Amino acid sequence: MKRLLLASVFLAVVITVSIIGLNLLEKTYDEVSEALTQGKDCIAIGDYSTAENYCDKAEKAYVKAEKYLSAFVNHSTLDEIGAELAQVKPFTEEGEEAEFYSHCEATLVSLKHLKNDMVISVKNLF
Amino acid sequence: MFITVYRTIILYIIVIISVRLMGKRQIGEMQPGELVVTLLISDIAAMPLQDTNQPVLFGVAAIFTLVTLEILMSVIELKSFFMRKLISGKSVILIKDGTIDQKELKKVRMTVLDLVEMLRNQQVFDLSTVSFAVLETGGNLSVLLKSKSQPVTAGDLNVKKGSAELPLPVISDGKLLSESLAALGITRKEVLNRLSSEKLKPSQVMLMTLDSNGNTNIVKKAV
Repeated sequence: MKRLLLASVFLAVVITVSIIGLNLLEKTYDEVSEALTQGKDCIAIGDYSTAENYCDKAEKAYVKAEKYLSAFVNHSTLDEIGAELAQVKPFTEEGEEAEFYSHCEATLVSLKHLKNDMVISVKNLF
Repeated sequence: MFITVYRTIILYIIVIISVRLMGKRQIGEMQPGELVVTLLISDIAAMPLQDTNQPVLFGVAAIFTLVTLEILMSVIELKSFFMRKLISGKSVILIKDGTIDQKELKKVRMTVLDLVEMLRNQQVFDLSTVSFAVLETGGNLSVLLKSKSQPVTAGDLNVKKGSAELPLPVISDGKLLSESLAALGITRKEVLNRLSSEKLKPSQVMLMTLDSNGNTNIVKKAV
């Protein structure tokens, strides 16, 4: 019984850490998504400098979360999303709206997939 | 490179903890389920080592889940005979009074040659001498010989023997083992006195065993 208790404690710790990871991923998704959405709105009205600030904000939020997320998510997936996000900002400087939107969407979709891969769902279970 | 070393250390500790949690059974004595879990743990532990893109937590989570399930199952097996039968199966009598139960042999998918080989492993070469042969859930064959084929014991010959005592190591590689001293109920001083009567110091002793009858065996260190 002592062994079972000890093993259950270890398992509970692992589950708690996983839940923390999931919450962190959701928080990161919300922050990045909000910043990029605001960036898109600014681009739509031609305010490129504010859009650039929002891109910076999104990138900072992601980089800050990445070091903690690496404990829960495949590192290459995180690197791919980071690389995608890094490509967004230059398009605000160059004023290429279509490319900006495209990279914003790609980043958000990748993050959403990542979030969906971590939640308990029929798709993930089987 | 350093990441691999660091990850290996973490997973080594995790695997040691897991194996200790699961208990002391040796590979040969494992139930089929335990063997599969042990193999799975080794495989899962290797995953984050081979691919450094995988978080260590993936492996740790899977290992602890398996260990918890394994311990939980063993507790359930302890409490419920039905569950024990369901999870580990039951022992099967393959030979009764020198006769092979062919039906049971077929059920456990063994050939007669397999059975004979297992008997030979138990030092049994003549089937007619077997009273019972039981295939245990762990896959081992337990054999009970007919009384006329069993080796003669001191009891059979009415020979009186002193009670067998377990010799415990009291000095190992020059160090006194306090646990053994406590188990034997003797003091350090008594052991040192015995050594001095042999003109020895603890540092000169490789192994010294002692039983509760006072029998001593000393192996000196090679000079």
